[in-house]
Amino acid sequence: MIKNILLILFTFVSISFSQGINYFSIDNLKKFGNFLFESGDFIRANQEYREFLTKQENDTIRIRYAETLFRIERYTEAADYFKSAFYNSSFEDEARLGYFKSLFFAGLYDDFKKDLAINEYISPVYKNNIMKLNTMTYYIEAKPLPDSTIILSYFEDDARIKMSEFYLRKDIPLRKNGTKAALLSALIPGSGKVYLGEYGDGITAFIATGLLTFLAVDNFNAKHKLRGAVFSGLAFLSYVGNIYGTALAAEKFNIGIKVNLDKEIRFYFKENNYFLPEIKY
Amino acid sequence: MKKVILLLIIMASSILSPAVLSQSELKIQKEYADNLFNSGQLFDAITEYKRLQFFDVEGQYGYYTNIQIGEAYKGGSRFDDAVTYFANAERTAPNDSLHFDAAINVIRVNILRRTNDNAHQLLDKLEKDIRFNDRMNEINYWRGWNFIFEDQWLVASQVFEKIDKNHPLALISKQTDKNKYSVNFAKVISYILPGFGQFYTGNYLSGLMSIGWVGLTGYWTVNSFVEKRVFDGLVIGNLLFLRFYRGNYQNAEEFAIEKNIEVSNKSLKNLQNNYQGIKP
Amino acid sequence: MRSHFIILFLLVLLPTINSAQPELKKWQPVKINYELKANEEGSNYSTIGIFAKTLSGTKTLYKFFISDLDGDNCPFHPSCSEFYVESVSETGLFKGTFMFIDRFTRDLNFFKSREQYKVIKNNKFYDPVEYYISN
Repeated sequence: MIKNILLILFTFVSISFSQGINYFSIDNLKKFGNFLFESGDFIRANQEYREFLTKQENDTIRIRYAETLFRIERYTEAADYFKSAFYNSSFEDEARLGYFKSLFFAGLYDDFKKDLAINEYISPVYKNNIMKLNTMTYYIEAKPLPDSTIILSYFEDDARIKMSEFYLRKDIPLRKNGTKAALLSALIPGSGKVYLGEYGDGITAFIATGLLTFLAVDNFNAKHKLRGAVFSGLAFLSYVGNIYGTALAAEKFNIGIKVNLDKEIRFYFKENNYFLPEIKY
Repeated sequence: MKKVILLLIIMASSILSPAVLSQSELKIQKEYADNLFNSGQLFDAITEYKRLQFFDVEGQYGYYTNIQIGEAYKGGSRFDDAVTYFANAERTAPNDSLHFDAAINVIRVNILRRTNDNAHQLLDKLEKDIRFNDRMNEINYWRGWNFIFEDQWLVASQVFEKIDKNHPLALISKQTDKNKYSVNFAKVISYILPGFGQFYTGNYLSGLMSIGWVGLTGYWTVNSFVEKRVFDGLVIGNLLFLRFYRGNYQNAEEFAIEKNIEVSNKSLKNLQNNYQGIKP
Repeated sequence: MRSHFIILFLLVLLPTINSAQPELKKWQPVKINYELKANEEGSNYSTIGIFAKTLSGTKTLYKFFISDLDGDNCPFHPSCSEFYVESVSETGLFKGTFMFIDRFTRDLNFFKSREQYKVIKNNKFYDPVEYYISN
């Protein structure tokens, strides 16, 4: 009886000795990786998962690995890994959304649209999110917008109102006409700047050009030919400089509108986390 | 009877062995992480310290790992992360003394990332804590450093003097303060004697040119008035004389500020490279 | 050039975003520098032609003999003389001169209505040449 007990104990002890605790075993790599993933340390989670995946296949780890790549902004690799989970995975739908969001963030809008046409790439669960991302590519790219009824149909309520406001502002920007402004300035110095809303600059330009012209005329009248010529030259430069400056100011104004709108749009997208859902893998 | 004792021994060892083993495993892991840390592979060291922390269920290395991770982040100039982990260490400190050390580490990172107000507030908190009354010297030491990083060398020297009248840092701070130029003096002397503010800061050429311009335009202005050309006098006085006069004292001020930054940087560089004591 | 403009815009904007950067790459130890940063800025011109070179020389002389001594008068950054050299090096002598004249008129503006400019350090209005050149 005692012999048997001893034998059992001996085996137990020897097993526990031979096993030890290996922090780098497959199981522990997974555990530690998951801990890092959940605490938001994606770059280190990525390392653990990569090590794990060289030894074992697991669809949760695979999709999480893709997510870590996405989080450390290695978007094209993330896209590849998400794509590798399109079939035979319990996260097929999530993988498809992940794939499109990776392409979106990588700025590969052409690939995005090409793959959007492939029907089986679209996940029915996240179709709405993918289509929203697609709409956002139009807003970010400097290309003409497609029909608003189609691209806005995926947004609801407030988002829809905001998106259509952006749509209008992008489609018909509140531009100022540079030629018109320059012509105005040619007619009356400084008036083009007033048209652009820069009143102080406009009036200053008018006074400067006027004063120089007056001085030129005055000096010619007083028979100071050299001074008259110098002031005429300055008046001419001031006149032409103002016209050119007005044209530039209009251009700057228009660029400013575009940049500000783009900034506003990007901020709005970011604020709403690009309308992406919270996913638990 | 012998058999029973043998049985007991075997049973005991079978129960204890996993615990003992995990102990030695943790130790090996700690040494592994320490090696990475000491060889300067800070990023990987953090990974291994985190692994140690994760598998150290009883938390016996909790404080140690937090401090080491904080140090590693600090070594990578990732000050925000460093503060997070030093603060964790503060929370997990097993005793008051270690708690204090962790708090000081948080303060040192704040000094380095130049969030000096934070550092002052944290130092105030430590100063008010009666548990740390016997460590006032350390508190003053770091407060002095904080003032140095705020570029307030005189105050810094006074704080260091609280520790020791002849504290090396007190002497260095005092000397640096002495080497500095008075911005106000430079400005005021330039009001009275144009160009002299620049002389004071050692910019002789600029000072001479200032004297030249102010003198010349001043002469033109006065001359115009003397010759009853009031309009010319007003124009020259306003557009030229006043302009150069204003430029003269603005310049003196600017030079003094510039020189002071040079003086501070010389001392800071010296402290960074040659000071043997403990640094932030 | 448009992207240039946006990058500049971002550069001005970025320091205002104050958040801990996530670890995106394996990083190396960094030596910390104790020294204070001096208030210095140098301008560099991308393509500098003969006119710009001459102007740049004149500007240096002007800076040495006059502008360094007559105080801080220009409300803009870059200052008018820097703006002139830069505009000529970017667009050529004629356009550059006209741009400078326009800038100088704006400098003279005694109404001080300047809400269209971005205010940077030392209370200067940020108005670089890049803002006026597109495509």
